[in-house]
Parts: sequence; structure tokens; C-alpha cells
Amino acid sequence: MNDTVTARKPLSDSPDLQAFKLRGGSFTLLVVRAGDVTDPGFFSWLEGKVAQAPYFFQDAPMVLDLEGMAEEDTFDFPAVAGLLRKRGLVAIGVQNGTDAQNRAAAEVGLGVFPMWRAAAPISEVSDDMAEQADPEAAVERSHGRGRDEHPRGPSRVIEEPVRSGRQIYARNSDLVVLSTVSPGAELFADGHIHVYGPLRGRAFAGVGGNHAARIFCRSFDAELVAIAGHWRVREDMDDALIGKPVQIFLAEDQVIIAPDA
Amino acid sequence: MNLLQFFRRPRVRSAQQAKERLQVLLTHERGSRGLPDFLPRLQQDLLRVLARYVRIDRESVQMQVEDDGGVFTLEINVELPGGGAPAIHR
Amino acid sequence: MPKIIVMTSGKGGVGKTTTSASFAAGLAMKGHKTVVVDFDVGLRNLDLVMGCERRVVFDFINVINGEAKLHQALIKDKRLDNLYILPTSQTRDKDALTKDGVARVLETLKQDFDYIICDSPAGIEKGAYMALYFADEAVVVTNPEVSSVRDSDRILGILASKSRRAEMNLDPVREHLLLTRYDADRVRQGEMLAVDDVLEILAIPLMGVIPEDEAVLRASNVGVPVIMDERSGPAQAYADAVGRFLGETIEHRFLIPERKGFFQRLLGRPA
Repeated sequence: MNDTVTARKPLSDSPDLQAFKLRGGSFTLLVVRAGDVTDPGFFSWLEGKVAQAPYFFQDAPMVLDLEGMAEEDTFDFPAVAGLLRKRGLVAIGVQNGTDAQNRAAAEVGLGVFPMWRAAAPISEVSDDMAEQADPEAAVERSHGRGRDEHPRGPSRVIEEPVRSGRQIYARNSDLVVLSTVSPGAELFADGHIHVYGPLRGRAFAGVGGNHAARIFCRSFDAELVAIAGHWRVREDMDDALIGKPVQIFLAEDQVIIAPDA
Repeated sequence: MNLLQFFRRPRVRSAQQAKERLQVLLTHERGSRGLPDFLPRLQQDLLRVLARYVRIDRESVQMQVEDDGGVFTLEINVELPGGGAPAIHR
Repeated sequence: MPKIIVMTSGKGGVGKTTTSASFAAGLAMKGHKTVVVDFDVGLRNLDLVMGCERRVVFDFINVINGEAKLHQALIKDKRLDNLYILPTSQTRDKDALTKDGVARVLETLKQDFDYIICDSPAGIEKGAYMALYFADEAVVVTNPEVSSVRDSDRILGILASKSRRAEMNLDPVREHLLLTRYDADRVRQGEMLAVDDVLEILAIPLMGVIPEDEAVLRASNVGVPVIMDERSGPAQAYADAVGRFLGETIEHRFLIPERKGFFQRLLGRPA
């Protein structure tokens, strides 16, 4: 699907420019995540994929994701583009490259796409279902694996109730929720989590691996709490704490839920 | 039960009606499955949703299906109005 | 040979999750190692009906995305040794179900389980499609009511054309009809489609008839599969259905109104 916005107003007041239109388009692009494009195995893998759905790949514009090529600072972009072209693909840009790689790509006329739109790998192109997972949600649900970063951003403050099914992630910061967190809702923060309404959903503090992160809440009724990937489910919680103000922290890799006087 | 009801003609039972309606309906439906007839409805649905956010008319949403040698492509073009419309948050 | 069974209906609210819970429990009670998988991504309810919602850490979608191992997400039922639950995510949507991912998880489950019950969401969208795609057998849960029968017919059409077995020209998915919320009294009064009417229209073998009964609500209130409320009508009907599924010959019950005793009549309510 692509949506087109037509600029109704001419670019300048000059009447000569009436004939031109500036149109913004958004297109679905193939992103090919190359482990190593200098590896001949990459092209035989690609050929196999193309053979599965030749029409789909015919003259398809694609973006080369260089995430797996961190060490290889410069390689022969024109040669790689030529090899891709032979398989029917038209390389139009790169993504997730190093600065040197981006410069090299730009020099041979390839575009540089922003890093944060890394797409999930397409595993079965002939499938009629869209198979794209949300990369941000995947990060949000990583349950504390990965980076060991400490919060540095301003706290994220949520004023409205957090309903079932909603996920909120305070990246590199604390998360403050002023209202209720319903069962089935999920809070994530790289830093601390503070909940001023009843906490009935799930809360994951220190998801970036910060063992010192804590969860504070006024009325505790959570389904699950986790600090830096260590969790406790409702069944393992003391019922006497339900409805009470508590603070939750990690001590020797144990999640401690302590009444907060 | 009063006497009037007792003498009334027996109604056709509703379960019997249900069965007959289903038989007619399903015979029809089983024959017309799998036709690509969703385009007009999709267009209606899209218009309805878009109209919640922007002023939009029927001609603003165009769609077509192309059969490109075995690959079906559904192309949807939405032209948004230039000014005076409420802002859209992306 | 492990079997994948989908609980499907098209229409919502007919008792798919209740049936999944009781059918899986029934198979486990008969000694078969059984897992029941919640495909209703975003509307997680199976764990509530099974009473294990307080033990969910990881879910089906975490496993598909490689964020958790299958054994971390599987929940062992506390009442039945052979019964496991794979809950779904409340925060994702159906797009998180990829065909590859679902195939991988089901393939792994097949190595450990005799029966894999797939609790389908309502509708005929992606979630329902994913739940039925890999099925070897299908239990079509239907209420004796026009919209439910019509939707069941639609689902039977999809099973016959869009399932993996159909696409690969294998033996077709084996279909079973389970009629739920059956009220023999109202059938006798001609206000509800009778078993025979539904059978005539859908033309698939009848696996069971579950009477409309307050025991179903009572069981879901406390998080126990209704089949474990052994004295109730639905429990006996589900147990019969499981028996028939496993090849036993069992006479159908609950098709005619219960004969009320003198005192029950006097009190105007069933015991």
C-alpha cells in the first residue's frame, strides 16, 4: 500500500512551476539483511529466495541492511550492486551501516536509510500474510536481556489509566504512572517504575539490565513484577501485600517485595 | 394459557423457520465463495475510517488490483486535502 | 502419532475456550499427554478459564519471537499431570502469529505431546486461520442458532480449502461437530434448532451435545474446566465427547428434556 500526498500549492510563486508537483510517497521496500555480502554463500542463499517467488523479486527495489558487516569498513559497493542486479534486485540504499560504509554507499549513489526502521526479516515471501513483527515491541519484550544502560533521559509520565493490552516503555528513563494499571497491561522502564494508582498489570523495571532499578507503588496487586530480567509471578507473592504500598527491588538476584510504610 | 390462545391456529415453529432459512442461505453461499468481491466494501470501509480524521470525498480513495503475471497487487491511493483539515498524528 | 486439533467456530461466544479447556482436560484424564494453546492473541482468556493466570510469565508469542524457550512458557496444570497450557499474549495482535513461527512451535510440541489443542479466536481473520492451518482434526463448536450454524458452515469451507492438509492434497482435516448450549426443553417447544436439523445442514459427524447449564459459568468463575465438575451435565457430556473422539461408542445424552421429579415440579426448578 502506498499513500500519496499531493502538494496542492506550487513550490514557488512562479507560474512556471505550476506543472510540477511535490509528492511524498511511502513504499514497502525489501530489506535484505546481509550477514556478509562478500561471502559467496550470501548470493546462493539469495538466489534460493528469488527462485521461490521470481515475480515478487523482479526489478524489486531493495535496501541492504549492513548490520552484520560491522568490521568490513569498505567493500566494493558497485560490484555488490551489480551482483544484486543480476538476481533481479535493484539496490537503492543501505541501512545500519557504519559512518564509513554510509559515506562509501553515498559516493556510489545509494541512499542511506535511517537506522531505527530496521525491519524484521522476511522469512517466507510467498506467504500471503504480512509477517512483520514490530521491532520496537520486540525490544520492549526482551525481558531484560541486552544492553546494560543506565537511565539518562527525563522520566516518562503517564496520566491516564493504562488499559489491558497496552504496553508502555520508558526508554533510558524512569516511568511514572499516575493512574490505574489494568490486568494485562505492561509497563517497561530502563529505570525505576512508580505507580500511583493500583498496579494490577505487569511491571518490568531495569529492562536494560539495571539491577538497581526499583518499582514503587501505592496499591500493589500486580500479575508479575520483574527487575533486570528477574521476575516473580502472582502465585509466588504474599497475599498480605495485596492492596498495600510496596517497593520492589533486587537483592542477590531475588525479587524482594517489601511493604513501604 | 387462556381460551383464545388455545383456539388459535398453531404457528409455524420458529425453529422450523430457522432451518429453512439456513438451508436456502447456505446453498447460495456455498456457490459464491472465494470471489474477489471485497473491493467496493473495502473502499467504503476506508472512506468511513478516513472521514473520522479528515474531510474527504469519494474520489479521494482510489484502488485497483493488478494481476502482474501471477502476483496480485492491491494499490490504494489516498489523496489528503491540503488545508483546513484537522491535524493527523502519526 | 501426535495430533493437532483445532477448536473453531467462526462465531464468537459459542464456547470454544470452555470446550478447549474441558476437551484438553478430558484427554489428559484419559492418560494422554495434552497441551492446549491459546491462539486468541490480544484477548488472552484460556489461562483464566484454566485457572493458571497467576503463573503466566512468558507466552506463545515470546516463544515464536525467540524471546523465551518453549519450556519456560508452558504451564503445567496443577490438577492433572498430563495437562499443559501455552498461554498467549495480551499485548500483541494477531500479526505476531507467523506461519513459520507457529509451525516451529507446533513441531516442537509434537515431540512431547499426544494431543495439541489449538483454541482458535472467533472470526475468519489471521488468528483463526493460523489456529486451523496445521490441524489434523477440527472440532467445530456450534450453538443451535442460525448465525452460529452459518458461521460454522463457513469455517468448514475454509478447513476444506485453506488448511495445510487441503493445500498439500493430504487427507482432509477430520471434522467433528460439538453442539453447545443445547436446551432440550426449548427444542421440544420448537423454539430451538434440534440436533438433527443442525446435522442435516452441516453434514459432519456429531461428537457431542453439551447442555446449556449454569455449571459452565460456575466453572469459569473459579477457573476450573467444567469437565472436572463431574456431577454436572456438561461434565458428563464433555467426557462422553472425549470418549467418542477416542473411538468409544457412547450413546448421546441430554437430547431430551430431563424428566422432573414430583418435588422439583412442585418447586419449579431443576435440582
